[in-house]
Amino acid sequence: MTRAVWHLAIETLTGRRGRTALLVIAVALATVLTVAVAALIGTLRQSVSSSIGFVAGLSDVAIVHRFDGYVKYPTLETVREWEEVETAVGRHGHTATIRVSGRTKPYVLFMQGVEPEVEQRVKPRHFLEGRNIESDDEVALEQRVAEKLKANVGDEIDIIRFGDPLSLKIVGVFERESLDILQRRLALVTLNRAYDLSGYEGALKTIEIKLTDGVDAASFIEDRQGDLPPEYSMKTSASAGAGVQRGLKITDLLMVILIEIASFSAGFSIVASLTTNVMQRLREMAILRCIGAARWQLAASQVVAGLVVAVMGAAVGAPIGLAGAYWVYWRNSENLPGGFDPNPRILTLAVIGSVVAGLLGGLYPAVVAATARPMQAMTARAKRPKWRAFAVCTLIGLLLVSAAPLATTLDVDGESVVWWWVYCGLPLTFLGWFMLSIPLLWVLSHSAAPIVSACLGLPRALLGQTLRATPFRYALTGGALTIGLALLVTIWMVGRSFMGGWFNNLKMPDAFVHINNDLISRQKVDAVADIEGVEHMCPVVLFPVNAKEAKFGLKDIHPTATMFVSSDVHSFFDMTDIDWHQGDEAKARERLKQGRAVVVSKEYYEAFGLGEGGTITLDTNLGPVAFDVVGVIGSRGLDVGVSFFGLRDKYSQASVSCLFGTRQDAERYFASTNTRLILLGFAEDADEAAIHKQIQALGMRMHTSTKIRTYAHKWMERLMSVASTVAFWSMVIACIGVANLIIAEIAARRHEFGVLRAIGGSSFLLARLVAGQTIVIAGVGCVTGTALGLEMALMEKWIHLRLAGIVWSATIPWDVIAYGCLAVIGSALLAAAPALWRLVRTQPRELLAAAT
Amino acid sequence: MIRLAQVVKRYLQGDAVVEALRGIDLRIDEPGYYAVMGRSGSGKSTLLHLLAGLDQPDSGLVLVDDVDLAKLNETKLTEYRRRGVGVVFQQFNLIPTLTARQNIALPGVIDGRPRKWIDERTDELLDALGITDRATHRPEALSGGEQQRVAIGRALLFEPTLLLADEPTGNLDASNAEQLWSLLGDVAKEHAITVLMVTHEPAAAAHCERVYVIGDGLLRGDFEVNGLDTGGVASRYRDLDG
Repeated sequence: MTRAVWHLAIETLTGRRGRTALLVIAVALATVLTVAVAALIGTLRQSVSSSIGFVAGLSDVAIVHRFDGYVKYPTLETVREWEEVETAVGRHGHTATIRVSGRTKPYVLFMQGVEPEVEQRVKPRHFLEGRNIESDDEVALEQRVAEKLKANVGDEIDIIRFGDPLSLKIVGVFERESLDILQRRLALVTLNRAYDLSGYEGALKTIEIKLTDGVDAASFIEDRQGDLPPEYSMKTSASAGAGVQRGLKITDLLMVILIEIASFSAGFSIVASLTTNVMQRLREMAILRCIGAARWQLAASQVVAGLVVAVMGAAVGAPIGLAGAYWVYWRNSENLPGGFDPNPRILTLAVIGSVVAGLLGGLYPAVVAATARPMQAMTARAKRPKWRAFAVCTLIGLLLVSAAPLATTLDVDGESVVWWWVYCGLPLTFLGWFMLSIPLLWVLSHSAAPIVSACLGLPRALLGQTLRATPFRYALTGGALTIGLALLVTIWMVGRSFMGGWFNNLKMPDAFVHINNDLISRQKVDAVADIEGVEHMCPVVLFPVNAKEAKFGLKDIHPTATMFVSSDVHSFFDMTDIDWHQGDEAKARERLKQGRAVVVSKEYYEAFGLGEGGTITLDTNLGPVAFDVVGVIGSRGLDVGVSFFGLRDKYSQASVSCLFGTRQDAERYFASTNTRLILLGFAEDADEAAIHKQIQALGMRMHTSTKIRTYAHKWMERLMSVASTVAFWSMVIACIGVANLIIAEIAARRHEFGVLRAIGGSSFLLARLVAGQTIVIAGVGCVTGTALGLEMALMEKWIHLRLAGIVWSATIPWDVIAYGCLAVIGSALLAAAPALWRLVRTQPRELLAAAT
Repeated sequence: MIRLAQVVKRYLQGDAVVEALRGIDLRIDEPGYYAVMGRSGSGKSTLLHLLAGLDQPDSGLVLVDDVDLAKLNETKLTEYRRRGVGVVFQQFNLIPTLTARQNIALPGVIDGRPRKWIDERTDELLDALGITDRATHRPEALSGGEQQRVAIGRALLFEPTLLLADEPTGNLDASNAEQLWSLLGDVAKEHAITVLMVTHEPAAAAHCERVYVIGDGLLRGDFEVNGLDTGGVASRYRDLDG
């Protein structure tokens, strides 16, 4: 019995080898896409993971300031006295702009201040040239910095800083594991020299501890945490790389979405093609039933056929995808020290995705094959479709597409809904719109087909009625074109609405000044205030905090911390042009000065209803403390500024939304007083370039709001380009389905076309007829694609609201939809073109001979 | 008027070249009801395809109403098929997705005729062929005889001077076949056109005025039916076909 199923399946595929080949190519393309991306992500992750150990060194435990401040040096001395500690080292780093003496080009790198001898015990470095630093006037460069600067041992570098430049002698070049963009370029100096550069004497960024043998890090932390001031926290070194790993976890999420997109694109093509095949072979099926074939055998043969196609596609696509990924790795192997390491889990998932696509693709044809009654199938050629089937498809389709929007109304946390959306909601929505393509084709065959007929000069009834005669296979083929367009619509709608409806409307200070997330010394703050053209200035202390009542972000991927922004209330409010949504400004200022009060950003109010009169409990160094909410403001410009500078660094861990409080509260409850950011307001006639130059001379960086906007726009454009590429691939995969259908269609209707030629229809008429069909089929894809795209964009809008509190007004990208629809129709026509060309060149007698 | 002179037509069948017509000559000067008889593979269907403008000869002359079909380009040939000739096939060859009325109207729609003209002409034909009450049915809902009447209606929409029928009763029962043979005769008389029916059935040929016998790609001869019954036709056919 099983042999019979296998035999039937193979016959299904070998009977029309050209079409089977096209199907295999479709699945292979989907597999190539997912496997290549999966392998590259795996390789990147491996490189990062292998390097984290190297970067972290041999330490077991790290001590840091909980609210992003500094750890005082005496703490290091205390720690060194603990019996469980074998070695402890303190580090203090600072970003600096350097120049090799005698050359002009400045270079920004991170000066890591260390105690050289002790440091080498905890984190041994291999010196390729020269030796480790020994005195305050020496510096050691990492290999890539030395190569970049063409600097050698013995050369001198000048550190450009406030006041006179400082010269240091290069004494060594050390090897460093490469993480490329994930790392800042590094140089080693003594702790004293780092203090000079930052202006923070005796402050350590971290203390790294190597425990004596046999001491468990977790137990050590539990025992010793209480011996430290409350604002300090200890964590195991294993968790030190968690931030980077967490950043990489988002790639898993993207991979799942990519696999879903590719699998569904391939799956829909398989459904359309196998359904067409089954419809054409109903007579054969009937004969098989007459001679004793069981329903399940016919059904199983279709599922097996789908699986064979999928496995063949995966078998062809996976090596090509791997080869492509290896090629990319080979070209960038210097930056990927972990070697080529395709993540087996994601790779398996990609291949499983292809196989599931085949399985799903075979299911509907299996149902069609199994439900064909022998006599009915023997006689039916243009059997009218059953209304019941239409109704069922419409109902199920509507239910599926409503699932995700309905889920957002449930009283569950946003995070659960997001994960549900990625793993269930998105596939269900894909399926829903795919099923709705069936009733939609019926609607278009009545509404659009007459228009297309008129435009193409076709007999009005011929096109519409042909489409309605076998709506399922046409509709499913149209449905297969859905995903590519949907992606285009989503990404452009979200991108434009986000940028146009939210980002462009943000009010920002004229400029932000920072030192790559390092602390800004009091001396430098004062120097900035003295620059000509700076009318207003507001130093800001900011750090991440945990709010009990309201959390943005996704666990494991995007931490749920929010930013506590503290400053001098008056100058901050005066210069940041704040919109008051709730509360009275004068009263709020007064209340903030009294302490234990915050103003929340509008996003908090939008997402959690947390407004004036409420309280928010923050995790402070004194334990949980309730802060009164005294107003709701819109100062998203500051939010974005903070996020912008943090794109590559620690502030990527912070949510876009902020709480605003006083510096006094920051010091009292979070022991944090260090300036990280300075907001600048320029005088009307200020010379921005001159100000910029002076800020640079102070060793700091300045970004104007214009620059931030330009950067954000470029970033968004790049993102949209990447997404458009995926959409393009999806369209290519779907177009193979269209080509398959058109070939099948022409093969099935050769005789009918012959008759049309025999009664005087020109070959051009046939071409127009098939083109007309293709246009209406593609029209189905256009409508479902646009609808799916809009639904996905609206879900994205909801996710932005719940996870980031961002509210943007949705703007439908009509031009993108128009171009996308033209692309769908054009590519479908292009896919149909070869088959059409053959049809046009076939003589009427040959077409007529098809029946005999 | 139909005239074929030294018409040769060859086909490739696998690697072998098959000569379906080997220099056939045939001439029909007057409108009427004619039969072409021959065994399977004798070349009679090829002859019909050439006359229908579905195919072109390798050499020789195919004249219909003094027009040399071999010299027509694709556009002219398409127009000829649309208006100059009607073809009725053994398999009926109706468009399955269209109703009887739409099938009959189809050549007019393709030709871009005014809707009014098409409607009037279609009504006339439906009425003349006795299938008005079946006008809105699709082929699947029609009997074989009704389908073949629809096919005749479609062929006659433009009142061509030549109506070709290729084994038109091959899929019909005896009663329906008898009715159809008579119907074709009536059409030839009433419309004063030439009806040329390819058949291998003497009973069909007995309804015609003259029978042309083809064998091995050549015209073996012809005879007038003139009162001959089926047996008589069969006997004359055997004499000529050998």
